[in-house]
Amino acid sequence: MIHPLAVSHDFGVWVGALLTLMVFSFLYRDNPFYKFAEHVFVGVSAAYWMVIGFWTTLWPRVIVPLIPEASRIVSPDTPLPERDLSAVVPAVLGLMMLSRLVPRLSGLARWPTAFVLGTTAGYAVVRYVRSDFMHQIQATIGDGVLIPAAGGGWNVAESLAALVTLSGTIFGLIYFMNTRRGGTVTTPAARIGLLVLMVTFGASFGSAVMARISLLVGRLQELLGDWLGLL
Amino acid sequence: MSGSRFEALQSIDRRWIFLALAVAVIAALVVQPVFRDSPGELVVPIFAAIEALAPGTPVLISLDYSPSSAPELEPMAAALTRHCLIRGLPVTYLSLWPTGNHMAGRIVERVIGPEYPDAVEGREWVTLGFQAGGELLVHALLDSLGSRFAADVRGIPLIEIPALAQVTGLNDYGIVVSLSAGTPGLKEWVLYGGDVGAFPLAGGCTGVGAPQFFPYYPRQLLGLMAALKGAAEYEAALNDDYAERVPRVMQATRGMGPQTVAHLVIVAFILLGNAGLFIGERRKRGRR
Repeated sequence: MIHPLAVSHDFGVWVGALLTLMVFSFLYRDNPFYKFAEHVFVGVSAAYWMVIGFWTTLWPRVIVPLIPEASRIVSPDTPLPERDLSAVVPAVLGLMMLSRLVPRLSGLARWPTAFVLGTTAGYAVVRYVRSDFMHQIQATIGDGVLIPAAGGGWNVAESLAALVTLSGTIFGLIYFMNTRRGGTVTTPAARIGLLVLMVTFGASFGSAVMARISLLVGRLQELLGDWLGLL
Repeated sequence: MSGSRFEALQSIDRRWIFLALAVAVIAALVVQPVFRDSPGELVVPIFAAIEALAPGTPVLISLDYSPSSAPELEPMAAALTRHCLIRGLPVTYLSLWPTGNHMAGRIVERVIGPEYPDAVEGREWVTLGFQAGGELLVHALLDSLGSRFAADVRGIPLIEIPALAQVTGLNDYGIVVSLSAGTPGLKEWVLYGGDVGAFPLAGGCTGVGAPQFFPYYPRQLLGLMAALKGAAEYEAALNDDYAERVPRVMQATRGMGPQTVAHLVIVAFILLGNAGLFIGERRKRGRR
């Protein structure tokens, strides 16, 4: 039930509540309060990422390995780590990335970009083929469509689910193969595939709406509870 | 009602819909209706797997989200933490997201501190925090936590932390659960962790991400908590087995009341819009 009004004395709660109201004001129309909150969000996010990036990556993985004495600035009592000159490689690649800021040297940034894209693509392709291709095919057809029940016979519900999964996958694939440019569906099987896709998109949209409502509930809980003390 | 009024139903100003939703959700938060859930098919395996672990078996929870998705995912982290602490399973928190340290801090502040005052950091739980790398971090942790984490967030070396006494790499965990709001998150845990390693992997995700992860169940994911509903189902399982040791109504169950009311409002507007369309069309045809 509702409690008597007890407004928070916490500065952080006030900042959060006012920024939330500023963002909500966009639902009426675009306005300077919303713009202010938007810019604060972008600025704070960038600053937060920079600080976290410095202390979790640049400091322990580059600066301290190259200059072990630097660790004494943060923790004077801990023993000095060993110097690790291999950290020069990511340091140089990082500096090359920053060369985009100087138009005359901007071509150097292509090297670290190519390194990151190449290694990531090479590393990911194996995993994706295994997890998102082979395992998914196995999951779709691996057990067939007649699932045995624990006490003998067939598990009707699971068998039906397996049948829907398998046929939905096949009809979905047929839709993409039997559709002309402009979205004209050419066969009845492709039309069934279209229905399968529409049901999938509908379920995804419903799920997304549920997620947004959860976030709305979360914000209103904080406004009414943490800020106003009504809950 | 004239035909033009029926047509007007199809073009209600969106701001009226926002206002109706806000009023409905605020009213539901004030009245606090409770709709009890029951554990679903995707949630039961996670609960059962944690139940089956011997006391002392370490559990890893990866908090791969930020404050913007905390209303959906934090109740999952809270429910899992309660379950692990009740069962005597030391919890390790880490994160693929830079905001993870803060998210772990909220669980300690809001759940462990008030509800389990005897729990000791380092013994009952440990926060390793955020490390950059995403999928490469997951891959590196398979063999050794120490390869990427020299110490926990307090600066205590891993070797001195009792909660990690049995742990070298991910395969030493009884279960790993990634609570994921995007990339890097549960997908990276499936591709670079669960499918490669020998540990049970489960997940929790936002409603937006859920359709992406359903295909991984049950072969690549032990179970999945999808959105606030998944969290409410886990809370229901906790309430069924440990009613004396957990709050009667927890965060997700409390949130499902307003959620349900908001859905009813949305359904009402959909019906209203469709009724306007069909009746308006019929009247137009009648006039011809």
